[in-house]
Amino acid sequence: MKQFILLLAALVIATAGFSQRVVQQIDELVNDYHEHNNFNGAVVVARDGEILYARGFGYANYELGVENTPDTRFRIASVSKQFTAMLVMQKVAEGKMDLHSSIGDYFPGYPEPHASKITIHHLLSHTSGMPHYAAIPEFFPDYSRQPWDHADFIKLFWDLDLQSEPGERYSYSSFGYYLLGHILELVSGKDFDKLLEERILHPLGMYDTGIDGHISILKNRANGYDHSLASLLNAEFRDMSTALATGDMYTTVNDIVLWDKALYDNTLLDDKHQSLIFSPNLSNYGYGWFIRHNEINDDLTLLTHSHSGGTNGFNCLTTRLPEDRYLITVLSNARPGPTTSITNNIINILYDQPVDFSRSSAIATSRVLEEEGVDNAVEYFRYLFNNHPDTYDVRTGQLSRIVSDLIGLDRAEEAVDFAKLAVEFEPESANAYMLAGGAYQAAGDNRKAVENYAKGLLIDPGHRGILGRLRRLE
Amino acid sequence: MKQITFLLILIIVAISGCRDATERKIDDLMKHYQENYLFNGSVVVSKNGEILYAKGFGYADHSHDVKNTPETKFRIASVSKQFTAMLVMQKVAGGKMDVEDTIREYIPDYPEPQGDIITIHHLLTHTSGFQHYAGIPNFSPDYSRQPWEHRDFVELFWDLDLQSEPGEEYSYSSFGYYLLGYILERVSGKDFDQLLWERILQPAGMYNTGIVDHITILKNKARGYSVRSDSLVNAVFRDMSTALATGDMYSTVTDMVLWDDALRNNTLLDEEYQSLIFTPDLSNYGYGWRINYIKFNENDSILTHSHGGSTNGFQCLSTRIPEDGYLVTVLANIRPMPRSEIMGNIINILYDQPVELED
Repeated sequence: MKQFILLLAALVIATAGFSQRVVQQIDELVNDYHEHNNFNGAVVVARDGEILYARGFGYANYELGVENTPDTRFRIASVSKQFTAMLVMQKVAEGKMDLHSSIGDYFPGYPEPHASKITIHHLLSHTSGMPHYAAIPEFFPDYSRQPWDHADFIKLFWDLDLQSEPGERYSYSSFGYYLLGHILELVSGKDFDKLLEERILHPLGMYDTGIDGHISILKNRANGYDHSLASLLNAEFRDMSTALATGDMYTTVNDIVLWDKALYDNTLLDDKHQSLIFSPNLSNYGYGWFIRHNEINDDLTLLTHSHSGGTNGFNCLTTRLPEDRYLITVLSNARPGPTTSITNNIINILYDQPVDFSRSSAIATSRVLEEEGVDNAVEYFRYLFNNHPDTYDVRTGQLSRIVSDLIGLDRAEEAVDFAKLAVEFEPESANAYMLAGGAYQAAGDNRKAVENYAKGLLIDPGHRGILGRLRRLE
Repeated sequence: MKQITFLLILIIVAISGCRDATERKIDDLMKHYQENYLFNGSVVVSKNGEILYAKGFGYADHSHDVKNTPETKFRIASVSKQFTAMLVMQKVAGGKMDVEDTIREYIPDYPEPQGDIITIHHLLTHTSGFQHYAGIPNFSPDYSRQPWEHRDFVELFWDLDLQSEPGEEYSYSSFGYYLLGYILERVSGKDFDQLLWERILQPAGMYNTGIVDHITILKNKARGYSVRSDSLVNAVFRDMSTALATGDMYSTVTDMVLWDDALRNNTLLDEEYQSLIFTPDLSNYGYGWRINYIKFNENDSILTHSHGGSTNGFQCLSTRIPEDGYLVTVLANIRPMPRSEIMGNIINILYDQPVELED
């Protein structure tokens, strides 16, 4: 008996020792992202509902010096879609809704032909052909700050032309999930937040999760921030009535573990219906989740269920590894936060693969740019490119980030200087010429813009980005 | 010598005892308001620029339990008008503007007849006949949440019907002061915030005061709260480009003492022009200030210069008692709050009058 206890103790220590090392590695990794790559938010790693690692980084409120913790509440934007899909499937399981019924069956007055052609399945799988926000150019400047009745908001998009026939193509549309949210309200006779509370949040004890608005006082709510070059700004205002079931939720990294556990335990939905949620349709999209087989290396491929979210001041990524029951969730309140890269490296650590971290040269260069001006900053980037390519990520994507921030700040002349670097470093890359063309275009030099687009097309005649820009330039 | 020292100590003890009593009374008063959910903000009382009392109550941010302090920054809404009036009078003193000029002298394409009959003086005294926000139906939320170029915003109200002939009646209009801000930008060729910084804030050392917007990160910024059906909620969003010189500033109670200092010492404007600011026109309104007498009893009354402010989630009131060098400023991040009652009672305490609490 004594020996048995001894053995048990040794096992516990071994397990604890293993996770201790992993935990430390994860902590160092995320801390690197916090220090060098603008990560502010919270991270959780859990296995089978048990938290292995959870920590906050940076500030929930920079103005008042309040730090992020695992209890800080973040907007999760499109990660809300997984909750909406669950609510729909619960109704399907109860026979209150049918995946193959069309919008018109639930929403009297919805315009034809969309009402009869688009089904609930199409909406859940983003195959309805409905457009995304870009179809309404006035959306962000004019509509997004206003309070909307759900039914009125739907009228903004309900008769827009479809981009493809329902069922034929995958094309991500937040309007589709907004519509699902309102259909749920029509079917249940309840407000979406009430339904969410009754059918998901309260049964799971997710008391730090809910619908965010700007009126209710929410304890521990993170403020959202946007990065622009080296500085941080408060995020632009958006009225959450424009998000509904497509992206109006908040949660904490602690709470999201309860959600993950419920999905393993079929607490909310029987397996038959839940399996539909995780069955890929077009482009690996299930119902509110991407279902992918991630090739880590030749010997290791991992099934993942994941979804990202992004809205003013926040972005996030939640990833399940169902084979080993891992959950990795990264919630950020400073956009753009490097959520994908953090997640991939945590997976590397969990599966004993080498970590692939490099510091952002865009962030380091932006600091020089703001303090010492464009000439020194261009030289600094060149210095990092030539001397520290192992420590810093110096790929075109980094330059592209600086260029787009500068264009956004009406500093196109400086953007041109950085875009030229991209061409200098990667003369065989069509993307580099597209970047240069875009910078010249923003600076009002259309001749040079076309010249660069043409060079890009010589390398890649079918480059869709360049072709699109040329078409718009005409 | 020893005796004199002793006497001096006695006097100091007596004075500070007095001050302690006053402090304690104000403290008790403010706690009463805070405990009854009537006040959440900061208070300052100063005399001749010396702070007698400065304290924060309640929370700058209820989501994170961060407390208000004398350094917390609050939106001061229409108290901004005092600063706008000062900037205008500086231009008048410098010969760049004239209070008798009409709007069209500064905005040549301003519509008739308003542009030709309304003067700078009318705008400063709220006697232009301009309507207030109600003149634009659905101002909130249709217009108030959007970002506006100042010129575009001016065009929203510039041809609204006047409520009365210019100069005939007092009727408070925030549009009038918005227009003054826009005129100042045209006259100076500078953004309003730049002008404010150069001509008032920097010379007065008011480094914790400025123009608030919802994008810039501002240390110690209070969040605004409203009381809605007996519970506390976050204030409704407003884009501050719709406020400009009529109400887009933030400040701290300690900075407001510096402003009072500058006025008492004529640091920013010579006496001849500054006296116009404090000269009552119709309804006791000067230029950006109300000039009133507080009546303690039949025989006793005292002159005050004051102005309040109110916007989504914030209310405030700032009162000077020039005869005795007092300034009392109450900045709150809760709306509504009984600011006149609070102000009246603090002044009652300063003048040994009984405190009157409403039920």
